[in-house]
Amino acid sequence: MDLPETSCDVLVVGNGAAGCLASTLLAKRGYDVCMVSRGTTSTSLSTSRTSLSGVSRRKEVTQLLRGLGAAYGLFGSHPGKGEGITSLGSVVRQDLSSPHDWLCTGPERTAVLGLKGNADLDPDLLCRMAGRCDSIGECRPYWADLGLPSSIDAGGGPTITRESRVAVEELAEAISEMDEEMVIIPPLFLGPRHDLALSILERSSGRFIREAATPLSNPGRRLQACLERGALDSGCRLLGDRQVIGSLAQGHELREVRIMSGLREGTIRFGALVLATGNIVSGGLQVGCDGPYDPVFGLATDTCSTGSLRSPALTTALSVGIRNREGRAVRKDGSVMQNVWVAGSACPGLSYPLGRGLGHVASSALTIAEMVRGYL
Amino acid sequence: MTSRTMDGCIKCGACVRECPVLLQEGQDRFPGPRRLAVEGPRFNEELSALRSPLELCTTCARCTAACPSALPLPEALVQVRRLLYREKPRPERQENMLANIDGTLRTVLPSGPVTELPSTGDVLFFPGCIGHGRYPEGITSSLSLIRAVGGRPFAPQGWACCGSPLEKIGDEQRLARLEAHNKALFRGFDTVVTSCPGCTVQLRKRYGLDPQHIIEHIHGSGRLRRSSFDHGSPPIKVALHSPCHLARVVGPHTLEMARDLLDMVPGVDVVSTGLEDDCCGGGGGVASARPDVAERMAARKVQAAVEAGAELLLAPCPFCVINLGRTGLLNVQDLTVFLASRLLKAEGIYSPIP
Amino acid sequence: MSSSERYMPEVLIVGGGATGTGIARDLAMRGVEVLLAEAGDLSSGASGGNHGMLHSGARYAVTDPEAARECATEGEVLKRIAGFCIEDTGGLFVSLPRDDHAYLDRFLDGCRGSGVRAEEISICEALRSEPNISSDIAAAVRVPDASVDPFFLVWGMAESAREAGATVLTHTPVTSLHVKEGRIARAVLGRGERRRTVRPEVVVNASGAWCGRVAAMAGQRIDMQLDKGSMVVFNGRLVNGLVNRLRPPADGDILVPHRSSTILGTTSGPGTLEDVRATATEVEGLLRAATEVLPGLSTARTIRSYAGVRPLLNGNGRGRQASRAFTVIDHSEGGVENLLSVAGGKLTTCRLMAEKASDAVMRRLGRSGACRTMLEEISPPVIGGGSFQEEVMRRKYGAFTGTILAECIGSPLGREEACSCESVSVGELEHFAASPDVISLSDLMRRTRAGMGYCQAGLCVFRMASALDAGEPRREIERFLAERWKGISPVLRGEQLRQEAFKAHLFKVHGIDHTREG
Repeated sequence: MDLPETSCDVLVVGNGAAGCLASTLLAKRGYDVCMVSRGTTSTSLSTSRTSLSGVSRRKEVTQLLRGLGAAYGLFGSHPGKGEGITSLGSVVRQDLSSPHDWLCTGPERTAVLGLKGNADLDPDLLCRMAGRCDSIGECRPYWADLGLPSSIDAGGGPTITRESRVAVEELAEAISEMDEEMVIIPPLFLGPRHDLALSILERSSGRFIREAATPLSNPGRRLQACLERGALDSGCRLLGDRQVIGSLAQGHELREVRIMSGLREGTIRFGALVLATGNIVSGGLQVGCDGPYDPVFGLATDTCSTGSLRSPALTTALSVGIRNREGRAVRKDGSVMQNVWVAGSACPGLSYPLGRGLGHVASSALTIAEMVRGYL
Repeated sequence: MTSRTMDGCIKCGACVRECPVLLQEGQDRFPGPRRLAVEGPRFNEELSALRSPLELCTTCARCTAACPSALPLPEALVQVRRLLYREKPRPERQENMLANIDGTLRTVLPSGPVTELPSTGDVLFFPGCIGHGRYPEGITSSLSLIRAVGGRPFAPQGWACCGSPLEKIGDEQRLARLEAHNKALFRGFDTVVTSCPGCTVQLRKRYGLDPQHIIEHIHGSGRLRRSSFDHGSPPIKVALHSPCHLARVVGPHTLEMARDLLDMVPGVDVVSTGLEDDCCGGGGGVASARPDVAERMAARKVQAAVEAGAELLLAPCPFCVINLGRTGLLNVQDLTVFLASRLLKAEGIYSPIP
Repeated sequence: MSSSERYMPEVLIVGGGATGTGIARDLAMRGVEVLLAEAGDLSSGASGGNHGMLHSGARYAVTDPEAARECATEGEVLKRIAGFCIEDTGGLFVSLPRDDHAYLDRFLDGCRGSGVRAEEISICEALRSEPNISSDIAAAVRVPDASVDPFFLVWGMAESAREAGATVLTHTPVTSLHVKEGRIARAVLGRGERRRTVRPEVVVNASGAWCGRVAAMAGQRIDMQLDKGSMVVFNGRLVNGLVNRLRPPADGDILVPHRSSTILGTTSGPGTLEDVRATATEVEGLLRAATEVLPGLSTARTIRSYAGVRPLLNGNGRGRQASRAFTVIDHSEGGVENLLSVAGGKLTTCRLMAEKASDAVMRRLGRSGACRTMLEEISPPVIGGGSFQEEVMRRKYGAFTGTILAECIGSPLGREEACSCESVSVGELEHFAASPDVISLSDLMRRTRAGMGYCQAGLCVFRMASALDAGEPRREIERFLAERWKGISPVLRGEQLRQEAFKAHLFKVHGIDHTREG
């Protein structure tokens, strides 16, 4: 049994940050966009640091992210706390900054609250690490055993969920015993109203509350959910849990891909293809013994210089690109695929572990979307 | 041996965060897929200490979906179970199931009247033990739906269990026996319709058949439309459960098909519970080995459906229906039963079994 | 009381490797007051930088019958007294069609001659016991090789020595030896606050590759030859027992199953004491050679590489040809009557070396007392029982498990898992971090195996740092990870590359960059 054939103007492979942003931009322009994903989005690696430094088209990127983040309380302006996205790229409160970043930018005295059973934040270690750093003020570790789960859904309604209200109250009580002005807590809340949960916590505890984000923790998932919603709201279709297993080329253009949905296979026809399959860690580029390769599309792995890695071994292993200057995909034989683009900060010069992050991904999505429109 | 295929683990922890059993039961009771399928087997000799947590995996495959290396974690975990299978004692319910298989070739003995299956027709239908023995209305509805889309269903006489539960607990010998028995019955056929996702997967993987789940079959026929359903039924709020082996193994398209079919039924409002994708807790041998865990997990799901205002919880899998129904908090029905009950009988396409 | 008066040992042992701790244990059991001073941590030299093989003697049967004979008897002794850190897996010697067939007979003769229990088996039987090896093999011989965890062997001997009354000081380098009237009058140990002076009757130089340097402090010259051997660690057990190539010893012909990994060794070439690491070229060479025997190796996941320096005595042949027999050098001929140096030898024969060296020390002290190390167990093999975690602990700590486990249960987070690759609990980390021997994360790793697994401390390093309470945690973490990275970068390929990229990201979030080189 074969699945019924699907067709669309633009097929986007991958629903991470790059895929969602490219889909959003194209769908908003009225194209029929279909996004397929294998299911893995929760690594949220490129998004665990948000920096706009060195990002081209920064104004547009800021606008794009603010617009998408508004519904989720991400990247917003917060009265009295400065702008959402600063020149350094750190985003107030909803930012995916590391705990260390908070300690560097926060007030003189900071408390770090660890929750028993939550592995996202170890206050003892953080404080000991920070304590040796001259640029950082005083910080003190606290532990609380509140029996809270590691994620609490704050919901998407006008108020926060009952579960999160209880958690906020318990946290506020624990925090009220501290003297510090700012308290760093593990990221607990999910859903569009996570922001409100934090605001209530700030109000009831009278402290600045900051979340300590680590890769794979809730802030990354929150951002992922927000970007995906943005794509769906702009009219893009999402086929989840599908794997691309093959492609059919006509000359220098790709016309269709084969996908697998569980036990079944099917075909998707398209006008243009955007590959947003992610970095080497998320498995987007499979890695073989002699460097990354791509078994489905037969893309080339050209060497290109990255410069920002200080380890020669890692630079050699990672510095490969699979797209040309226009963002088009290049095959192993050197030919350029006219209707296939590679999005994301992954190439050239894989994003990872260069920490280029969301800003670069967004900027690449803007460029690719323009190229695709030009082609179609 | 297992560790060789698990070399792709980069310890990102995505599986640990996704695992519903771990979330429910905590790290102490269930250390999660990474420990059991990746890390544990590296210590060859220490395996037997893993035995009791191994019983808790429902093989829901959430871990595989989340894994950036797409590692087949449930398969690897089942392989470890196979290595440990000889160790006894086994849970009581598992022993009962094995005794049933030895006596009747099926996992359960019927607890009441069963649906009679025609022995001739043009659509081969595989009823499966759970539907046959515990949920006869599911079988009746599947037959009605096959007829509604123009087929004449029949089942091979003397069919045996597909072997899925035996594979999950690691019993290789009995599995081989059942397969040999069924293969003889299936000779000459390549398509078969099933109502249980576990059977669909098993018939594909171990028998080389092209099985269709009943949802795929009726949706794929293209013969059901809005006019096929009764417009006079009262409106109802339902929640849809997404069975793990259907959504993640047979394929996510099945759930889209299920929603499509529900959209055709007048008066149906599908409410979102936020936990659709979570495992009901019954699969992978957990319902028989650790019924308490299966029930706790089911209760969480059913509770969410109740809170979302659903009057009925639908699951396109007889096994999930029974496990979710155990909680008694909400009426649970197989999706096929619901669809069949809403078919427009007057048009003559619905002909119930006498 | 000043620190110089705190220790009044009869014997000062320099070096905390297998030899030094062995001698300390032996002498302490004979009732001698001993002080062992180790410049770094226990087994931080060649004792920790070998491939963990407990030789049956077969490997030396043709080239070095004397070493073979010693290995044959000593291997069995160690299996008995230190079974807790030995996996008696047995081993195979296999030859490929292109290997010299005449070697088989020489090999079997050699084994017979040196008392090594070797038995030729059919190809079929060999493939049954090692299904992953090449089916092309031309001959197979079964030998009683075993795998040993040197870190735990040395630690076990040190603990056993302490129980017998010895003092063992790690991170205490000997900074000078003062010779007066033909004997070492005093030795200065440690630096800064920990500086102290001792006046031992006899000094035993068991510092392995550093033997020459220590002897030079007393104006003595030992002609050492430093021979570097590189190894690669693979994830998981790719072989059930040891697999050796049946040919004259060459690069990459030994595979050792070691706990949850497989170690491939080794190379042989001139080495130095500084910056001991495997190069990418050596790794490639090892892989190429071993793939002939174990074809799956080319796609197997590597974890890291490492290297050790064999302290060989000059004049005994070069590199691989050099004798593995050991020598106790009496420096009275050179004009220092109370200095003995122990050089050469193998991990497998460490107990015998200790016995011989201790006999010499006893003669020098003019005391009597028979060696008892063969009679008293460090810890026998311990198996079975308890949870997964407990079982893994028993296999590491043997008879010492009880105390450690009690602490794990006593501490609030003690049972929590800190390192999931190697199943190390927080309690274990806390137990060893409290020991004065452990001052760095590397020391903690050698005691517990935390960070030795296939993620190479990607997840546990923060927990380790938490337990250790090192002076500057960020610096210490960076130092430790950089040391790991040295071993990882030559094998950076495939899944390990993905893992490293992931780790680099995790650490960047904490402001740590360990991949910076130089």
